[in-house]
Amino acid sequence: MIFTWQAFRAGMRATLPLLPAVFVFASVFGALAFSKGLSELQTLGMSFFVYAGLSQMMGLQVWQEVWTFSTLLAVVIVVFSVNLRMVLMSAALYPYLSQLKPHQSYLALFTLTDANFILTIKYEAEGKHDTGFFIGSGVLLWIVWIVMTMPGYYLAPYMGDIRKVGLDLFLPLFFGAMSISVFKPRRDRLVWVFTVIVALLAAHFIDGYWFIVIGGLSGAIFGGLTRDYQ
Amino acid sequence: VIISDWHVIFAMSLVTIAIRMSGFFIMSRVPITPFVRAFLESLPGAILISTVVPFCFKAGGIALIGLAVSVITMYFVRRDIIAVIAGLSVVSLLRYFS
Repeated sequence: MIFTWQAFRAGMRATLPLLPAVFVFASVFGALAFSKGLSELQTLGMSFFVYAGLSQMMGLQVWQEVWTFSTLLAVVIVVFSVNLRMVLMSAALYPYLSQLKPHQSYLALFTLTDANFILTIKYEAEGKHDTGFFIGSGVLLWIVWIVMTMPGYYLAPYMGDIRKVGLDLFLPLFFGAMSISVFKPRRDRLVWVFTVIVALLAAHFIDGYWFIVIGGLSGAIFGGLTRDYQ
Repeated sequence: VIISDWHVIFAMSLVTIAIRMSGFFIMSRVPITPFVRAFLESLPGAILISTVVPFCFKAGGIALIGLAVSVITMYFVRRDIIAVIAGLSVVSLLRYFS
């Protein structure tokens, strides 16, 4: 099936274990927004319209009280570089989402974020292709992300150090565990070794989050070029 | 021209939406040759590990140990949430004692 509500609900269910981490992440963003002097509505608005946690926080790092064109441009460049990895995710989802009509695919892509991308990749690795899964997961994540921004905004002055319980590493460790489900030895062993080397070199020599795009892109090109040796 | 906070929020939003659509748009214009198919098959895994590995390297030794625990637990138990809890438990223990 192309889209079923059954898969939509399955996508929501698969997202549930991630919600504690989303809650913490959203609260940290809310607290940061409060400390930078954003109003409640602006904080909610940013979570609704941008809906990309890391870039929202990085954007706030360069937030200004009075804006000029150049400081606006600085924020846009920061957001662009942090989110550029989603170009690759969006491309990787092409075979899956192009089952839908074009305008439906683009609408579904509004909900694209790391978590529903990765859950969908695992779903596809299980041989399932229903697009309801991606959309269900994305819609739930979007709602929870927006709503959970506010507790952090109000509790900002009372919050302790989230690093103590290791929650800052929830998403990286989750991605790490997911990589085991996605790994196919014949296809991936060479590609992954190559990708890790390139990504680590990029992370070492280039500031920011470019290592994701550089590593991901060169790994996939390597996979394309070596397809006959897999 | 006066630029308000809302203008900045909308600029951030437009950039992010354009990024979300662009990969799909590009692939819809590219013929699916054997190279492109293999490229797309390798892409998700490549994004995954080029995010996780450098991130944990930058976060330091304890993060790397936590990652290893998660990955090994996942390999044997095949339940993602158990793997993450195992990794996070080790991380918080190590941080507590260091």
